[in-house]
Amino acid sequence: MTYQLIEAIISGITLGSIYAVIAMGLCLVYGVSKIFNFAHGTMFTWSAYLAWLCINQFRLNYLITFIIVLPVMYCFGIALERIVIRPLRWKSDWQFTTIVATLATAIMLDNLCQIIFNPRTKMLPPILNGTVKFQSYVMSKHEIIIFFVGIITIIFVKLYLSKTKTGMAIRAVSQDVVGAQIIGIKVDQLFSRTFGISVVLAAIAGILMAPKFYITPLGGWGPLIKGFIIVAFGGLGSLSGTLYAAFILGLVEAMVSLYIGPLWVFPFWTLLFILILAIRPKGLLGSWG
Amino acid sequence: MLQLEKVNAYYDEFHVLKDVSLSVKEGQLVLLVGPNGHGKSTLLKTIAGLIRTTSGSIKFRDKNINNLPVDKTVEMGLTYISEERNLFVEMTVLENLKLGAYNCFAWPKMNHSLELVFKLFPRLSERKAQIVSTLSGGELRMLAIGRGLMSGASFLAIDEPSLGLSPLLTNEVFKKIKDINEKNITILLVEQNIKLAGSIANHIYLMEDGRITYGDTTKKAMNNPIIKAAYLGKNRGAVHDLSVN
Repeated sequence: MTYQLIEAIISGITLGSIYAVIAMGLCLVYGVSKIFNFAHGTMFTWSAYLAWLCINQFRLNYLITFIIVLPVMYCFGIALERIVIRPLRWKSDWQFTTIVATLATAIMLDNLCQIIFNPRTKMLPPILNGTVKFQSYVMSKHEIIIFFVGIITIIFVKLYLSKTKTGMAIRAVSQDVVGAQIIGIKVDQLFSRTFGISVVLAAIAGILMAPKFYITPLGGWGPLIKGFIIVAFGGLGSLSGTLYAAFILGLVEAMVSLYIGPLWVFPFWTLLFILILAIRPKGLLGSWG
Repeated sequence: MLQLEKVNAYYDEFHVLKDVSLSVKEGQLVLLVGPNGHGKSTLLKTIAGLIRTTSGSIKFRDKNINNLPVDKTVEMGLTYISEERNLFVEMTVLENLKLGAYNCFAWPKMNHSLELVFKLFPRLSERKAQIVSTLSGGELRMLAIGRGLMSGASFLAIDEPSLGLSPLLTNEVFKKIKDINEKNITILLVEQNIKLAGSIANHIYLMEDGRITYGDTTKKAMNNPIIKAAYLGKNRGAVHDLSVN
């Protein structure tokens, strides 16, 4: 019993770290531009396909795959912002039209994915084969890598936002756009950079998760919906809230899968989500300004 | 240093600035007064580049800055300090000040500017690790001005710094503004309180219904019967008579 429980907790924390990486990207974009990016899941899918290209077609290893895919996806994010969002920004009702535009982009890119890579599911090998045994607990090496890469990414993003000039500017824009403008921040440029960073986060998660699940053209919608629930649960735009929410919901997922069954994960998530909104309508750490 | 000629600007659909002309010379502290909602703040925002002009010219150091984006005017040394303060409330005082030096010319000189700001506002130095949302009204106003100074500006456009402050604090803030002006930073100050602000200004402009209706040196303005009647006397409600004259 306790053996199972500990295994569930470990798997919950691992899930949490990867959910945190996905949700942080959504949260950053929402915080800075107040846009909910429906194309975030598609970026997750596309990076998995690019990784499949690198690994299965070109026979590259994971390290080089990361080095190639992440910058490509960063440019992808910048292009997405420049082409889809910037023409609409500051026009009437832009906060709504941009959301619909990202949804349309997501559908188009998913279909493009299907045309290019065909709808058949693809598989990636784990980053490292085999398992690690610690006393009587067994973990696959891939899970351990997911956990560490997830945690390192979170720490890196946190440091980037608090220590670097651009990171501070990103936080400034999310707190007061006019304030950011009048101190000379090029707000439009910062929007696209944030999109780029957010897509890189989706890509890290996409590549790490690909070996655990099959890669399909619609595979990004699950992580997108989960990411959305996490961001709203944590308080829209609050990065710390998002991190707490990711780990809480990751643990809930692991527990529910163990004791009740994996099909019950989503009902439990939504139930918890409704509960937290009933108690704190702006989410866990939402700002009450 | 700053010249406006027949500037027109719209706020949404409203024609707010109507043929506004004024000039600010280097080293001056110019006061812009007038009733609420008559375009004073819009004028400052237009100068800063937050609002577009439809016609007329704005020249800063003899260069046209019409419709230049805000980041460019900041780099040229023109900084706007808003009435709403627009501080980053979830960051510390120090982070706000550092961000004030965001433009590429001010960033390398950050430590020097920080020293200057802390000397001027010792209170901010005491509170530098504090989150901005925990500051008092007076401290917030000082931080807004301090952050503006961090940009290395040679020209500050300050919008109603006395808003929401007690008379005592207002006095203190005006004293600091005078100190800043004495460091050879030119200031265009928007203010309702002509009595207080008049004492530190060299020149006064009056703005009504989007037009500059009066402009003269402080000495002459204070002795002008119309200004006296409308802004300095007991009968402060009689503002609108002025536009008729």
